[in-house]
Amino acid sequence: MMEINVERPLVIDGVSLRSRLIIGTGGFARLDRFEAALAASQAEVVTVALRRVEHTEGGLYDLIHRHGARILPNTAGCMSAREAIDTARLAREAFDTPWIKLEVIGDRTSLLPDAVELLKAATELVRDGFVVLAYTTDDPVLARRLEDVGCAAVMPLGSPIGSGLGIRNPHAIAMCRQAVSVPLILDAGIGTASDAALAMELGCDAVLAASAISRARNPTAMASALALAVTAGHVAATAGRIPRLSHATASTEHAGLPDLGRLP
Amino acid sequence: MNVSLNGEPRVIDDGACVADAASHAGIDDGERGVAIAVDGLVIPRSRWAQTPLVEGQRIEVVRATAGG
Repeated sequence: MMEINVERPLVIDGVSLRSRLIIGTGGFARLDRFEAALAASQAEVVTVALRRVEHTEGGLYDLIHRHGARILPNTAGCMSAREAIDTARLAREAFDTPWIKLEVIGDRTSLLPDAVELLKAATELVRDGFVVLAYTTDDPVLARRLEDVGCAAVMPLGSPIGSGLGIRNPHAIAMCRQAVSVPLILDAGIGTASDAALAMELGCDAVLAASAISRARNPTAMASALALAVTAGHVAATAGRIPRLSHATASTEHAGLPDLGRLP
Repeated sequence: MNVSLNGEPRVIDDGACVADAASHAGIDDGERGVAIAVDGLVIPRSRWAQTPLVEGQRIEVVRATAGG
């Protein structure tokens, strides 16, 4: 691959990351498939959930460590601030990290964030010393409120978890970008590479993808594609897109066009 | 004594500690990435061996799983 000079690394909580793709672990049928996708993604941060031991297979924690990736525990499935805070405390003890991807969902059908419980949990976790990366709706006002209470990153959804619908409201993501100065990470809804590139072009600092990789026909290939797309989108955002016009604009001067006579 | 281990009723020896509950749950001594809460309170691993359990407590033993 051509070496591209990416201007600056992503910095979360003082930690410098070269990769702007964070990957999830959900949906892989086998651990070795996840491992191949992790290698292909070149991700440096991986999010994992916590469950009772009899519902889990061992080995995931060691595998991620072996690859030198950083664990970002999450509170997937939590439906109240209380539950999310207790889960975060267990995660801090299990993984020896203050980082937490805070998810507080409002119901099990839409899996959409519960704004009220989310803000409450974020406030308490920050106070307790956690580095909170908050999964949220694509609402710029809520994004700002999450930054105000001290979240280290804000993670708006592009569309519902696992839907693969991409970014349904690009304007809202662009407004979230304007609203916060902490890292903005597009979380949920990525379906394929172009969605990830769009997120970065809209000004996101990183993208999180889980189902887009694990449920792809070829997860390893999709992990590579997303890594390339995230880089492409990031560089494109730095380069600056041209304005959209409602009319054509010639890229070639009219002056100097040779006169070859009229066609019969 | 009777305790609840990950939601299931279990009878464990009187005088057992949190470390014993971990082995009951199938956790090897060296396994990393595991956490335990007793009645909702996280017990740091360094204190598993010194934290006695008492009748009726709810013990949750968790580890990393794919998800989120």
